[in-house]
Amino acid sequence: MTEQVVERRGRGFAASIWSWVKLISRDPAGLLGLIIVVAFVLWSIIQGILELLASYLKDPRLGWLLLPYNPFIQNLAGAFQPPSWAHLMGTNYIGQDILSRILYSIPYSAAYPAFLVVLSAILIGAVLGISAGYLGGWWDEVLMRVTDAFLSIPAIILAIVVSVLLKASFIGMIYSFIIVWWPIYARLFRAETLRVKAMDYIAAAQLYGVSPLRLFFRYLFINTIDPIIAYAMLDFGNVILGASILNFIGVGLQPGLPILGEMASDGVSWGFPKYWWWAIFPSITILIIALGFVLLGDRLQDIIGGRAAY
Amino acid sequence: MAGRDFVVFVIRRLINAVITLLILLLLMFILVHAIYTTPLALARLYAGPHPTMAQLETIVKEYHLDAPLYVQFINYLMDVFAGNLGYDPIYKEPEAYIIMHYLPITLTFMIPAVILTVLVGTVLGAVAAANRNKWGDYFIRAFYVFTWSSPPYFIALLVLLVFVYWLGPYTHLPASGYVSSLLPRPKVITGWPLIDAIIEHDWAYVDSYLVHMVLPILTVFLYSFGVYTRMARNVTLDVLESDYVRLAYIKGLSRRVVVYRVGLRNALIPLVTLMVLTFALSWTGAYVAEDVFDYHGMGYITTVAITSVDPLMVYDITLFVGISVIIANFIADILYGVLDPRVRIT
Amino acid sequence: MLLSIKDLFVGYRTVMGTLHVLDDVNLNVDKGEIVGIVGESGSGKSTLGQAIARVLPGNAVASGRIMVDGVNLLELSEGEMEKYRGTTVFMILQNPFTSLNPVKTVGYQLMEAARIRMVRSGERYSEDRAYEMAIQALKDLRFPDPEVIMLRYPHQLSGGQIQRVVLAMSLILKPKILIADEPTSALDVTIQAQVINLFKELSREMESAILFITHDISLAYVISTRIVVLYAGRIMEDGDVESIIREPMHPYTQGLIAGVPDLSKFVSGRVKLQSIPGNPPSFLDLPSGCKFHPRCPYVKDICKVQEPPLTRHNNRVIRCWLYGGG
Repeated sequence: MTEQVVERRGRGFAASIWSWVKLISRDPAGLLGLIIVVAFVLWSIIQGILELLASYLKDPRLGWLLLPYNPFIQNLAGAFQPPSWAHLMGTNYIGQDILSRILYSIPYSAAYPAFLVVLSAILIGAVLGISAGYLGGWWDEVLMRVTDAFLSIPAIILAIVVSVLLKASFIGMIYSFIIVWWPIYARLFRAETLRVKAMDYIAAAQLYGVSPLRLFFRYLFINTIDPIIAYAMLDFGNVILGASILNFIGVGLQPGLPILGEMASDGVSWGFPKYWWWAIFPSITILIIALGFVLLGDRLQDIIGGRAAY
Repeated sequence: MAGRDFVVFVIRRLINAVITLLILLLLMFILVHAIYTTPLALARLYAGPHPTMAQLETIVKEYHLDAPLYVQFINYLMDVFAGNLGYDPIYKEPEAYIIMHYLPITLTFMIPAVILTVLVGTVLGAVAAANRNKWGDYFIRAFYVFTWSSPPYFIALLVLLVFVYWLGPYTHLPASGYVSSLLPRPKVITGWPLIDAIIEHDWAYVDSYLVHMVLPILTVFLYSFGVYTRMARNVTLDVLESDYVRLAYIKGLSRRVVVYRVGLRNALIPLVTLMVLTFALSWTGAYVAEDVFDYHGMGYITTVAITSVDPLMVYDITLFVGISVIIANFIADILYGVLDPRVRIT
Repeated sequence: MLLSIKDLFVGYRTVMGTLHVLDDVNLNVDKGEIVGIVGESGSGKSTLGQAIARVLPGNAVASGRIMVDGVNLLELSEGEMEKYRGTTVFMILQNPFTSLNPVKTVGYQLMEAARIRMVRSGERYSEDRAYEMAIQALKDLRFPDPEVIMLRYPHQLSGGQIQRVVLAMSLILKPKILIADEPTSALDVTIQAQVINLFKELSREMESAILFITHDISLAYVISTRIVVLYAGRIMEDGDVESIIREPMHPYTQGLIAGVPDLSKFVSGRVKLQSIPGNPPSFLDLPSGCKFHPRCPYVKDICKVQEPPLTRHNNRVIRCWLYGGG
């Protein structure tokens, strides 16, 4: 596949999306990933809108309109119920329906952290990485050293310490993830910029006297972003997994709101495998969501990297 | 291979590692001071829960928290290199001392897990690449995709379910602790309980320790396996498509020789980087394994520090983890020099 | 006839469907001949070389016959083909900087080739003998200090030196068929000349059939005894070098020659220095009929509809409706 590395004009957006979908679906694993991700995103959007409406109209019942049960209602008599037709995924220690709690928490347990973190990291990483790759010199050296240092600590462990320093709230966790996540994107953007910088059309644009801002967006950013999109797709899964690990350990929680990682942790501490459904189902949920992104991202990387044979 | 060239190479790498360490310390320092902006706020880090104003002010004076930032940083550096990480308000002991007690327990099971991941992952990755798009490849890929997307606690839970609750009667593997609580700790010689027990010929302890190590090792192995094997496969694929591999084929070398002696040997070079990545990743796996299996290592005290609001402990532990990764990186750099002539001979 | 290719077709399966790259390739090469295979980038010429050595990528499909010593190479199993590689068929690659194994010395890799040669000839392997063979080959390639080169790693050598090392490898292996895929394209012009001269000398020594693949027709003129012109995966013209240059029959060949200042003086008739308008087609979207018709100055109606077959005119093989279609 020859690369077309020129200033991109907007093609028919819908048409190009559809051709990507077709490409992805040629691989059954990629197709499965696509389905999972689309379902996940759609659910998060719908549920998110319902929540917005609920707080706007001051009627919280909208939040669980689509759920089998009100996720907050307590029913001590029906606590610790194993999965049954009434409660497909069982109940927890105060009789709350686990399936409803899982569905309710998916948007903010997984979707918001993933998108917020990855998109912010891409933006920060793009600005820093592209400028480092393009300008070179001491700025580049500084950036490399700083990212080196950041990358010496495993992302999640660093996220833990930053979250703890920021008082371990949910928002604090998001901020700490963004701080921890941008170095990788800076590195990726820098590497791509170096590769692209060597191409003649950049020199041509400079000779034309293209303004730096336009150079950045229309030339550098657009042409370096392809492999990064594929990586970002995988990374959504990484952030979701990472956030759930932090939640499992007890960081980044929001009192009152069910959170997937926390549910798993509670399930374990209240009795595993006696009440296995409490720990297992939230874990499987994370697994499926992450799986979707892994399959999709893997397939995208193969396509963009030219490794896809058919 | 000129000996002198190699020594120069090692020294350069060492300097590099030290610089990275210094920058790491600087970044952590900036991080803390960006969040805790006033001396009083800083004092809270060192104080226990619910400190009085008087206690805080004493701490500010004692630790010179009101000195200019660069002075504080110099002090900090000197402290770190002297091994002084502060005094933990909750345990009432020097942090370094506490950490050195728990660190060997984590490393003793983490390192075998990493070695296992690297060995199994390299072989399976190469096999998958060599048999691209055939059954072996699909099976290995399905396996690593599954382990990669699983949250580590899920893996731990599965391991628990399978090996303790289903196969329990056959395997007798314990589900918690790192050693039977009935056995006394061996005399401290190296600080590593397992090694101490071996030196002391305390075989009951060794036996119990090893048996308790199995499930956490398995958990960490399964957790890191996905990432490593996928990359090993991709790296091997890339190498197998390169020109010199094609030329080796064209020369008439057999497929086995080309794939393993030329391909895998060259793939080892980027794989070394992956090994460091796996080491870094396995810290995360270790944390979660320690939580689920009640294994009292670094992850355990981190969790305790979080619930008892002891940010200093969390900070220092993280520093240790960072240092261990920098050391791993340094070792990897040396390995690079050994494996890749382009690096050591310019 | 040493090498006889009949009805060769090669395609690649890709995300976009199956690309038809080579089609209806019919070619005979005798020992001692140097055939210059000339074509633009994307004409499929590298694929032809890879097909003969059977080192096509995994997603390739091939059909037809590649006959060497009475055996169809395409029908051989991997294990059987392995015995043909190196001593029967060998290939020099375009990019010298990625041709050699970066982690082994030059000496190791040359001696590896020597071992293969010895084993295939039935000789008992001796390390001393292999070393001798390697040193001798390096001397033949005009290396002033072969013992030193043996100890070097590929990244310490220049592009020209690496290509000479690979040529030394071919001297050691003595293949019956040597394929050179643009061996000088990555080199400076002066080094190019040096390598080409060595190549010419060696080809006189070895009795191999040589396929010299290039995009540069003037280079092919200097080296070859015969020229085969390839376009869009099809052979357009095939004839001995002097007559093809002086009297090119195919419009594409004429266009190629017209683009070269020195050669165009040979062509009888008034041909101005010019380039061929248009671009070579992509294999995803080949034109109907004759693949060259969109760019041909003499295009006729039949050219747009039906592809001309390969026909023989005296000593020339040509694919063009201008010369009848049989």
